[in-house]
Amino acid sequence: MAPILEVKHLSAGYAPEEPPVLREVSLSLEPGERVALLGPNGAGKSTLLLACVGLLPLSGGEVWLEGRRVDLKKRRELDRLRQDVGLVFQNPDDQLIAPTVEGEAAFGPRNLGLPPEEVKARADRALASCGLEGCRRRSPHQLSGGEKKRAALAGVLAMEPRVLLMDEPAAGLDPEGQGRLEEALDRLRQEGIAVLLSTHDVDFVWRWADRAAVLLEGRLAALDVPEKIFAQSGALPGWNFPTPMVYWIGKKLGLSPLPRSREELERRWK
Amino acid sequence: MVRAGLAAAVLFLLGTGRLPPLPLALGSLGAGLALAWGSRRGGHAHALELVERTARSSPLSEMPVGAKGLVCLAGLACCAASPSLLLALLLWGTACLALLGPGGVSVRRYLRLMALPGTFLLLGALALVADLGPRPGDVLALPIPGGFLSVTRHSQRQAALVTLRALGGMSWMYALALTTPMPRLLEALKHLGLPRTLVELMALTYRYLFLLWELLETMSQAARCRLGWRGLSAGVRTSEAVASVLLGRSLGQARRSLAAMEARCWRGELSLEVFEGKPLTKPQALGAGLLLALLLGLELLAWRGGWP
Repeated sequence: MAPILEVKHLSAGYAPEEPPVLREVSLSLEPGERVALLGPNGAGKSTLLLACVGLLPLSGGEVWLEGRRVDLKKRRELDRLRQDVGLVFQNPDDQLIAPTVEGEAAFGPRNLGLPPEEVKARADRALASCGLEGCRRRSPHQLSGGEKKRAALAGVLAMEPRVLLMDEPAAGLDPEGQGRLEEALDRLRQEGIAVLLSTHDVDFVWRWADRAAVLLEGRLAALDVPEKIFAQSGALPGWNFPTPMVYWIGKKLGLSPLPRSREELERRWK
Repeated sequence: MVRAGLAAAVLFLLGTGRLPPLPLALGSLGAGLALAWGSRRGGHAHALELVERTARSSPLSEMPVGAKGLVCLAGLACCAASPSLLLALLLWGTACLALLGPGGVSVRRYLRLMALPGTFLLLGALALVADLGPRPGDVLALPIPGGFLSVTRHSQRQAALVTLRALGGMSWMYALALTTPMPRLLEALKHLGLPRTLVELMALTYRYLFLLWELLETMSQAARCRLGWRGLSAGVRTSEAVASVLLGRSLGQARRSLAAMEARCWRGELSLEVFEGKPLTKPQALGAGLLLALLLGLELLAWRGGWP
């Protein structure tokens, strides 16, 4: 079975006269898979996410959706790609444009040309799944940081994508907000939606991700299961991430397989 | 304090020759101070944000815009066409009562939102009531080099009438803006046949205004923390820097917003309307009808009855 989204030898940048930010990156996502994108600031994580939905001109490489190459110059193919692959921006203010939260959730479905009943149904479902039913009539600028993030997520979920790209979704969230985000991500997995997200939180990557990718200076330095990725920590030039706490304790205690969460660690330690 | 002084000066000049000087001076000063106190800025909320917040919390926010708009436009037209001081005063009072009563707007918030347009109106009134010329006025004449600073009965009446008309008109516009959230207003404009592109542009501009305001506020606070407005030269330097950075960042914001829209299959058309509105209730229809009849009745009486 072909991956739901695949990028092959992708090179992209923001200006054609400048060297590309992203160089020869190849990555694939299976349905329902959870992949975390790690890398220092400026490594090209956001650029990769933008390039995946054709928002940046590619200087090389290809984007494949369900085993079919997407011609990014053709409007219809681009629309299909963006319908199936949703992108949630790091700063929700970049994304929220409608005067109300419900208008925001309806923005994407309306662009798809769906009938009003379907638009409303999708917006309702997306708002409910993000816990924003009580904020329907509020303006984006009246929302808290966490609510803005959820409104941005609802705006993308309303398009019912099969792949979700999220640019540092936990940035700026309080612990409760992070918990709600992880719950939302778990629900996405149950619905079979593949998620590729960029983050700096190695503890989160360890307990959540099926695979992790490391971007360094625009190149894919490593792509593997978290156990193998964190086993290489320190060995990769430019890698400046600590190992996850649970992983480190598990290693020190000689546990095998290594526990993925604090709860699992406590259970096995007893 | 500037606003208090301005209001007191205008009131004093308008009342000179009609009321005893000492009570007039004290009354004008008291009114000026009260206005300035009521309209002083409290908290960080920007006027735009206050308007938005007030409109959303108003008991009339769900009332259909058509009926509300009709009453407010009638009030505005009556103010503009008012031939008498009494009528203009009554119309202004009606707008205030509508806003403060069923509109659910507090006196403090009304004064705060009237502060800026009110200051412009007071400046205009000052220019209308006082005249510089070679001949002394019949109410007040202060000799100055080259002539007199004069106030005449005619200029007093003209200034009072224009100011009351403008205050009334502003209040009727606020009666609509402070009870109607922007999305509903935009929807009404679209139903009135305003070009779709224009309405969409208004919606986007509205959103961007808040984004840019937040950006400006953050930069200003950051500059304030580093004494960016300490003294005139520092203030000018800071304002210049903030303005130039704001331009660059607003362009960046526009670029990022466009990318976010494209990521959701935007094809050059926006559909931003809200879903369902509530129908006009009987008390609302009755209230709107009575208010409309009152406005038209007052206007007719003033035209036929030769009101002052």
